Amino acid sequence: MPASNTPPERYADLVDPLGNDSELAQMVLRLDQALQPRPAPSEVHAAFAQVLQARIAAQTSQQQVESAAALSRRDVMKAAAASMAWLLALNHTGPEVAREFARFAEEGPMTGARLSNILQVERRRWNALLAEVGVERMEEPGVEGAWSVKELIAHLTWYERRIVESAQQIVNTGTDPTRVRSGLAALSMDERNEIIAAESRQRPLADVLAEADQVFSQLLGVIAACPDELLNNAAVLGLPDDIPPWMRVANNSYGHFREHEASIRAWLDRSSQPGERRD
Amino acid sequence: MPRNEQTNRNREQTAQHAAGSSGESNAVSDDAALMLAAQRDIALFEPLYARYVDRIYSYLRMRAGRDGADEAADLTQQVFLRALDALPRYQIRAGGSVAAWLFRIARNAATDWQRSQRRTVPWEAVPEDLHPCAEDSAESATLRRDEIAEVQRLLALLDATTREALILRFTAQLTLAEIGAVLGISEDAARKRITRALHTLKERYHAGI
Repeated sequence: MPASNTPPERYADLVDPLGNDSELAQMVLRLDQALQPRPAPSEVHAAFAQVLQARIAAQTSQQQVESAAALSRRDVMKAAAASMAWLLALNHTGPEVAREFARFAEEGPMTGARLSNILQVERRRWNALLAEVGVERMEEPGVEGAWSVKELIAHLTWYERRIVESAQQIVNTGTDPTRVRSGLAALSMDERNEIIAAESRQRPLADVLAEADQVFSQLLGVIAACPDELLNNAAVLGLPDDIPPWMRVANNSYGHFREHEASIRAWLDRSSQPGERRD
Repeated sequence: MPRNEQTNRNREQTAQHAAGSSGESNAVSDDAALMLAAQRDIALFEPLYARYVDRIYSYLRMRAGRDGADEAADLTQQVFLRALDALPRYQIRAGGSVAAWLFRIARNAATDWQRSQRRTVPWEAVPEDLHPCAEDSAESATLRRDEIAEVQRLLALLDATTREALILRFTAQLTLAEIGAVLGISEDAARKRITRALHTLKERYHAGI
């Protein structure tokens, strides 16, 4: 039947291990002929094109709304100068992260595109760690104190969400809703963290993971909308000269994640020791 | 140049840049780059759609059975709708596969549909509209049809899980690791399942069973 007696290269992993079994190679060829994919009907393409256009239009419309709501750069600078100081209260920077920030700063002004790229690379690293943990172990207590990985994720997401909300408000309206502390933000850090962890214990793991992804997407969105000048000009924001705003963002995103990453790795190491109970 | 055209061209260039050079050996990393680009701009999902739509449709055509052409087309649309909805949540990981992700969605869609039909779709034969287009002479086309009919008959004798593994390999053109990921088994188990099926088919073909 087939013009050639050799199956295509893509089947080498099936045919090669079987040596010179020509009959088996023939069967691979027959199956390749009988089961090869065929073009989808044109109506499938037409329907998908319509759906995709609708999604693109929705995305564009959202971007236009955000753009229309934004203030002038001068207004943003003035407003931000008065409203981002609270971020200084959050100190997650370890020596390693601080050295990395200093190196980035020496390489020139930070751009939104570059910060976004750094955040995405770091998030892939974090996700690789979570994959190493596996969803089946994410609710085991005792990772950091009594907290599980799920509670840690909820904790990190809460702080990242604060950054997102603050930055969105600053970029879009020039006011910062997080400057006036209320609710959890008005509590001490320990009290706040305990409540966030307790709430997350009641939530399904899938919700906590989905929220983390959603907030990270929002963070990328607001970085994309943020003027580069706002990311770099510490003086305009009333921050110390060596702490440009992009450091505050990175610090409360991946800098914070790295702080807790060490606990997770130590827990993984402990639980992989011989005789360690995992139940 | 009209703005839309310029935008589309920019998106195409961005997608090409994200995907790098195309080539089968780089398919997985290309896919990951395309996914990353699509997560930032939904219009850039189109190259992934174009890469997989025929294989998804053909897989679903097999799952939908001999008279299931319309159902397979509907299911294909559902698969890509679900993929667009899930796009923001897709996590790019080392060793992950966009192909396996898409075919898991397709497999779930087919299973949901079969459950809703409250029946098992009988495997009567490979649907006729999936037969290869004969570009050869009338004589070789006849031979080809006879051979295909024989392969169909032999496939019908296999159990459903073995048949699905073969469809994922020969129709969906997934790697053994991807087949394992779709079926929830190891790569080694996928290899054994397919190798065993090939031996069974070969023996039955020559025995005329």
